Amino acid sequence: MSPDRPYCACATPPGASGLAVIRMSGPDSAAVLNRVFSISRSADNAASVMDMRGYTAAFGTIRDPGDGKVIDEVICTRFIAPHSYTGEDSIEISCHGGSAVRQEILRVLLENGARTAEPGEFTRTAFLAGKMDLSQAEAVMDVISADSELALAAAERQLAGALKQKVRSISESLYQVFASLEMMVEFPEHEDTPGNTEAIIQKLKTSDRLLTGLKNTFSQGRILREGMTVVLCGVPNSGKSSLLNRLAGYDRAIVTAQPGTTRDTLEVFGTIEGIPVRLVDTAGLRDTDDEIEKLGVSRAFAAVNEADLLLWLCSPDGEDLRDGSELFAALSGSFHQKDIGILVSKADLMDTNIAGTFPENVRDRIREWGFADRVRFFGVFSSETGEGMELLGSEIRRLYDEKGQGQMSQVLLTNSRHFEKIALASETLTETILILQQGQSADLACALLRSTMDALGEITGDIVSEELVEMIFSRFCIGK
Amino acid sequence: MTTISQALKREFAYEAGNYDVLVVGAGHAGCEAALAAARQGLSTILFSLNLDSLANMPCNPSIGGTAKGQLVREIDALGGQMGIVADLTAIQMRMLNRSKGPAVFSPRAQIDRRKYSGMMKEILEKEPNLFIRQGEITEILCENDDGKMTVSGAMTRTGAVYSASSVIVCSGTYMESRVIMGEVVYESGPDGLFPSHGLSGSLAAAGIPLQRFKTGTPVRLNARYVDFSKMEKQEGETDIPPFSFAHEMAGIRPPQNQTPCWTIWTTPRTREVVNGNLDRSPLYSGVIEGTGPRYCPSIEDKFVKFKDKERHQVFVEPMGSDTCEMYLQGMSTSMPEEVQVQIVQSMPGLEHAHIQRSAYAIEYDCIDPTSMFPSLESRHISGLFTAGQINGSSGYEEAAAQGLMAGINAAKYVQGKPPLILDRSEAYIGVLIDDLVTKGTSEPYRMMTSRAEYRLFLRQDNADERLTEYGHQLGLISDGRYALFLSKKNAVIAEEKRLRATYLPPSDKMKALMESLGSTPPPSGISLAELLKRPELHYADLASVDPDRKPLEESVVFAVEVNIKYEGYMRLEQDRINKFKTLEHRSLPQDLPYPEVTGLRLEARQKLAAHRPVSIGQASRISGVSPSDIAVLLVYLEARRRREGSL
Repeated sequence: MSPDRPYCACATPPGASGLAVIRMSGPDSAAVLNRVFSISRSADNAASVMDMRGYTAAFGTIRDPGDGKVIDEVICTRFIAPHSYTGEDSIEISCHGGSAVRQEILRVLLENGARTAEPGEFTRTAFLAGKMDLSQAEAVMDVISADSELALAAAERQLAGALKQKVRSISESLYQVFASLEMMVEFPEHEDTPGNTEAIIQKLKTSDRLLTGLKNTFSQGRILREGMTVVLCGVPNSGKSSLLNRLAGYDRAIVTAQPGTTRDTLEVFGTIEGIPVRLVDTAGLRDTDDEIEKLGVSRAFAAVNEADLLLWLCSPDGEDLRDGSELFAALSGSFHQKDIGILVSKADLMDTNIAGTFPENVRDRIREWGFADRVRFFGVFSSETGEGMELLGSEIRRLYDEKGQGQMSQVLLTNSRHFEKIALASETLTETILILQQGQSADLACALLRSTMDALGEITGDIVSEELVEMIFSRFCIGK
Repeated sequence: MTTISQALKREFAYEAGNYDVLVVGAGHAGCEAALAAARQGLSTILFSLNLDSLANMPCNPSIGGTAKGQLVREIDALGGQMGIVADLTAIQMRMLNRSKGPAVFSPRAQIDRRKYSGMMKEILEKEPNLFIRQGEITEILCENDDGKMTVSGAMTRTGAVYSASSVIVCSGTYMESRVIMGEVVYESGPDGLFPSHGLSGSLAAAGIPLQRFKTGTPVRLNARYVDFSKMEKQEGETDIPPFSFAHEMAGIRPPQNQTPCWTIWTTPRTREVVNGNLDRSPLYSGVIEGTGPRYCPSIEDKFVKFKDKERHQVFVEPMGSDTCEMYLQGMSTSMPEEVQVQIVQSMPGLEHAHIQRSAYAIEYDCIDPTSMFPSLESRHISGLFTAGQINGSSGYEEAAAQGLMAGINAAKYVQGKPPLILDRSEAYIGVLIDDLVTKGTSEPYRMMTSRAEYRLFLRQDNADERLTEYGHQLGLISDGRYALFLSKKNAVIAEEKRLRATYLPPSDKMKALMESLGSTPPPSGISLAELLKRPELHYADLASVDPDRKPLEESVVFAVEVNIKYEGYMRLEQDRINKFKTLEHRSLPQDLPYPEVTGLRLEARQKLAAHRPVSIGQASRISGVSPSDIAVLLVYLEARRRREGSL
């Protein structure tokens, strides 16, 4: 087999679950995992993934080597060829079930030498390695073709079609530049071939910006695919559960409501204003000496980390407004750089007179603390009447729209394979620009630009050499 | 199709002999094919319509250029003839693209075409096992064994019936060709030679699909009536390697006294003449039916298709050292003769030009190359090979490359051995043949560097490293030359190792040198290899800080420098090549029942059944076959293998 990069994917279905399993297979699986995984405890005290024996597990943390940030605590199991599902060296990572956690783990694996698995690739490899009997062969082929058919399902097709068009428009202008560069190489004797490197760099930069923009839509696309994560915070009895219940009945599209098995959080899936939303209820974010509660609190912080929107529910007793309150602590600490909404729960117990001025009081207090700019919206919520739901809906919609702002079109990247190709294209394009700016020779710039075009071609289905030759002939007049 | 026994029953027919390999046509493809077959020990006969026009250059009197120069170097590394003869008959040599990086360096030479033809004829005549014969082959002979056709020989216009185990057709632009100049159309081959009649009909009768292509050539002038003072001079270069690695290793360099070329531009008057006579151009009046090449547009095409371009560049090139004839590159046209005179005389320095030969367009029959295996053997007739323009290509170098491979593989066929197939990561020759047999072509196919995916590897300087091993195994590269190659290779490895292992501490000398070269002095110790990686530094620059350096061949220094400088990029390319190779090496049985493979999309089933690719790699390059179709094929193949294994 080729020294191909290991491939990885989530082996458990998308959506809410307590645990998820990410599988990675290929000769270098252990090496790739080792770059991002630090072992805390393991069988035989193995210090690195490469030291682990087959069928043994290790507990530890996955970090992003880029910034050293911890992504999750996981258990990794190692399988050594041929004793694995695929017959190759493999790794299974059992992580927490949050979609953002899964995405983050996949991202760091991809950034550290793995690639996204093709549809049906694990099963196909398993079959080719003799891990399945003959009678399963046809079933496997059906799985592969079903996967590719699935990609052609109506909704996906629309999305993919628009993406293809968008990528093609970027690659068309890149082909023009590529053709200019290639023309200088291909027909060097002709003095009239274009030779303005500065103009070429400017054009490449424009395309690079477009690609970066497209790459950034992945976060919006991720919301469409995985749901916007809205984390409910607040001291106990602030009304979080009633909000959750209210939301549970707000829309018929609610799928599941299950207690987390590994963390003291509760997740609810639903759609609000057409946006898929994953609501996470947390334990309070407070200092505590109680061991069990401590665990709950640390999980709440983890939930805060992966939130797209934090909703703080103020308790009606005014506890949040005092100096050094948990709201103050949260705003000044863990809520850093997150979008925050403040809701005042209009509990039945609350005196209507106080209720009238309470939101104003909260707002004033936050202003006094100097956090006014950090808060996106204030509102009143009543689980009885549904008051405040409309505001919440429009704010979630607004947040979603903003994530897509600055993009020229409504094209979104939802598929991580596409994201990976666009990211690769953008990376090689940036390097092409660098090489041209340094005045290095054209053959290198062309080789890198070809990698860019190859990556884009995998989305559009274009074959680079053919497109290039076509472009050269249509744009330039040469001949003997 | 006609069998040997049927042919012998014809009037005046006679048995003329029996050969292992019979080659039809002695252009650049035919000469290489015949030499390769004969040098592998097979009795070979080569036919030409006219022995005085062997290895003729009816168009541009030059060999090489971008991508084509790489092809010539590859032909030479495999043991072909073109590079050697080109070196010895060149009147000007240049290395194109020297400022654009070694991956695209391209050697090019102006050739004395009469000398080239004469020298090639002498080489063919002196080759053991090889016989050359003037004569027109009008029919390919075949035996039909229950529907399976196998080539058995060929027949000439004069009734000579030759039997042969393998036949290679290299008919160039001669099959049913006609020449067009304005309203004047007549049957003729190129350069005033006879066309060939009947041959393409004989191929069509065997079920081989034909196409009709068109190409063209510019006028030739007498230099005595050209005012060169109005032109820009283009001199040759002497500090470059020749085409042949044998010459390079022997220290042979381009000649000192080279003949210059000249460049000029068309004028507004040129444009006026062309536009005013478009109604007389057969391209626009519908007289020409064949498809012409886009990369070689006629001057009328240039003015029509690129309306906003006011002028076009024209090159004035010598045709030889003992002739006054000049070739006008960039001025190909099929306009009537009288218009040609006006066009030529509208340009600077050519006001009083005298045309010796007119420009013309030529239409000819060729085959659809997708009807061949990658070995260049026909899928319709076993033992029949084709090479050169008959396969839809264009250019002397493209033809020679195919001729060499057809000669190699015809010999393998006769010897009952598997063919030699170069893949896209090994050689431009591989790219050329794979493009032709996998994708086909709708115009005369020209090699371009842009067509190669692995250009950093497919360089002119390392063609020997890529291909000499094959050439030696085939017996086309002598043991002596092979030994020289190995010593160069070892010298490269040793010097690379030395540069990587030699560390230099920071010193004032180093600091001064770096500053004088516009580079930053390294803060701590650094290896020579690390220094060489810097784009602004070259091997020669570092001599003063590298006292242990021994004198080395230029070609060794060049290879070492490229290997070190491009290391990172080449590693990326190597990853892509490895991935490509795994697909390329999974062969596909020719009897695969594609319609029965579940999971394949309908379009893929049809395309695969029509093309019958030889490998998974080739299948993946057929338009309409998707990656998931390839996954399905892989699974199907494995299932089939196990089913067969369990029987």
